[in-house]
Amino acid sequence: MGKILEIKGVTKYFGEQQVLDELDFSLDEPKVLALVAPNGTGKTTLLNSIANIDQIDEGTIRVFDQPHTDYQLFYKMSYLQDSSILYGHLTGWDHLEFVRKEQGKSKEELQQLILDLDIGTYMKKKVKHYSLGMKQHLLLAIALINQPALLLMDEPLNGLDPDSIIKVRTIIRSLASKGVSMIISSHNLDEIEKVTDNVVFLYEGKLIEKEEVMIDAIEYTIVLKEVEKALSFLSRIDVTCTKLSDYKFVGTFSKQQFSVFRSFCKEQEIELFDCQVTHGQLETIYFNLYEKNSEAQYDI
Amino acid sequence: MIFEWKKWSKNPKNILLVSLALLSVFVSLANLYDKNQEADQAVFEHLKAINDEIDPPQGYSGPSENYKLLLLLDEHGELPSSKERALQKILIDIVYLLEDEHTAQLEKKWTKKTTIQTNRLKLQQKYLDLGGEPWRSETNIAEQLARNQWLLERKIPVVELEIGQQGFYFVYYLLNHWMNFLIVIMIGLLFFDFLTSECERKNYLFMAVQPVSQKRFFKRKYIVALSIFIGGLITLLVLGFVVASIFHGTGSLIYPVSIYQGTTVKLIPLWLFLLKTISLQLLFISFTLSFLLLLSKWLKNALEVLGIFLVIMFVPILIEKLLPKIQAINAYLPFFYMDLSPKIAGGSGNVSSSFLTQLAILISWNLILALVWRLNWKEKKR
Repeated sequence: MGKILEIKGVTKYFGEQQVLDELDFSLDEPKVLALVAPNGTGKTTLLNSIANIDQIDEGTIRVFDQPHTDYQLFYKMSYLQDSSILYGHLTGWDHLEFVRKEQGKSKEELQQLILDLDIGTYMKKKVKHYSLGMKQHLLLAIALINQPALLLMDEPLNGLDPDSIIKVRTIIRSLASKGVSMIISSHNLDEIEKVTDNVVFLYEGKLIEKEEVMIDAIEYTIVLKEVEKALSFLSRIDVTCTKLSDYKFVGTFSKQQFSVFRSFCKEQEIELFDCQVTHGQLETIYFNLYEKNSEAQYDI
Repeated sequence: MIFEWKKWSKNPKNILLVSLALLSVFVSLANLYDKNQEADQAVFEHLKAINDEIDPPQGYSGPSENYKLLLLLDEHGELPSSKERALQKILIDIVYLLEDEHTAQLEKKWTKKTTIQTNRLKLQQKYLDLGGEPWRSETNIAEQLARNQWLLERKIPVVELEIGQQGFYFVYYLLNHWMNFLIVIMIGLLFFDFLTSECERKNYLFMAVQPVSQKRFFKRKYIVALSIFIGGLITLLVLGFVVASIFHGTGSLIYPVSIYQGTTVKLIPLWLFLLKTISLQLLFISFTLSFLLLLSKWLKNALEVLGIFLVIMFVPILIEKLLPKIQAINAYLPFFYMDLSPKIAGGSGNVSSSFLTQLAILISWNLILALVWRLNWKEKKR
């Protein structure tokens, strides 16, 4: 079996600004892949490029060993976009019927999908009267009619209430268990961690796998007895700290700084009651990758 | 295509415009009724004008040139020869017939009126043939005579076709007057955002991720737009016909319409005239829609599309009014096919092409646009 997705040397400009920079990536086996980056750094552009909505300036993209420009790919690939693509004056059923016919699926298959997603109650209503969650479920139904082997999802959890998030998350897991490959763009790191371990970061126009990110600094929440003494020492070795209480502070340490601080505590016999990494692993990587470059322009 | 139709038909703007178009049919009918109310007066004024050319008022002592009866007399007030006497008799007979014709008009006895009018026209023609002075208020006697002959042979009462209220005549009115420029404006208003609103609102992305080629996508839009417009047009015409027929009868499909070919006049039945008009109109609509959609594909902004479309369609017409020399080429350009009446009926002196040539010209322009579409798809293949 060939590759599910192969991106080679893809470059994309918006005017003068380069959004994708000779980007290489391949997806060889079915998996759920999270695409993480701050807003406006090119996540949607990358997904749009794969779906051939945005034309790339250089490089090639192949999906299931076919050029991504082949519109017939949409028989086995779906793209869940944001709800602005829906027609407010049409009903959910109108949208689904159109896609069903284009995909050559039967009415029974569509009815089953509506039952599975439990969206039947509002399908006859006009989309303009839908809540964000309802729209998201409709988009999901639209994307699933063709029973895709590859599903691109652009911020599928954006703006959803907790109930809807749980429901969408369950659907994603269920699809993954059936062998559907998914590329999910998001900046909701907590949610991504609950769905997949496979994370790539879009950074300066290139994709970086989670494991490749060099973590320069980690934020710790530390509880100890002599906070003032510790803070005074930490300021001397350039660690940025915030005091939370008489016994607690947070500080961002490099590996070396943290090692020096541990030695200092040992020498001074300062008892450490607790010392935890403040953020999850993804968040830490995210902060290391992007926050240090927050002055970079993310206005795409 | 059903989806395209749903998108269009559920758009409140389109519902409003279609309602206005339907309403305007009734407004036209009411307008015609008003014009007909004034028609008796217009006929009376026309007959009086002919009478005034012949007969001077009592006690008139001015120059003889103003009145045909005085013109025949010599300086002693006598008729100098048998020719003048014959002409005088004709003129007096015409005066009596004018009175009878007016009475028939008032009594709405149309067949009687046609007979009297035919006799009067024959006398007017005879007057000219005998060397009488040309008629100032009646210039198309031969044409009218031919028409009346046609009507009498087929026992059809004479009507003023331009303001006829009967079913078929109302359809003629709608096609020739009411729809001329309205067609372009309606196409513009109904379809200027057919593509662009989707681009502006990003709805097109919904279609873009389905297994639909760009060619099929645009083809559907074009076919749906064409079907909607032609369907709407036929609905309006049928509605107009039915409503007018209920109140005033159907009229006759073989009512003669004058066709000018150079200096000669030919009469063709109304059904043939309508058929020609509708054929050219369908081709013109097809061209216009295709052109509008092409413009929408290039411009991507709804109001820009509407503005530029209307300018491109109407500016040549305005230029034609300012620069009459352009009339020589107007038969070959599609923009000038909004007003089909002079194209088919002639009369304005600028028609150099036959109906078949006009048909061929419009088909060619449709093919040219089809070719442009084709090239466009090749350039931007998905």
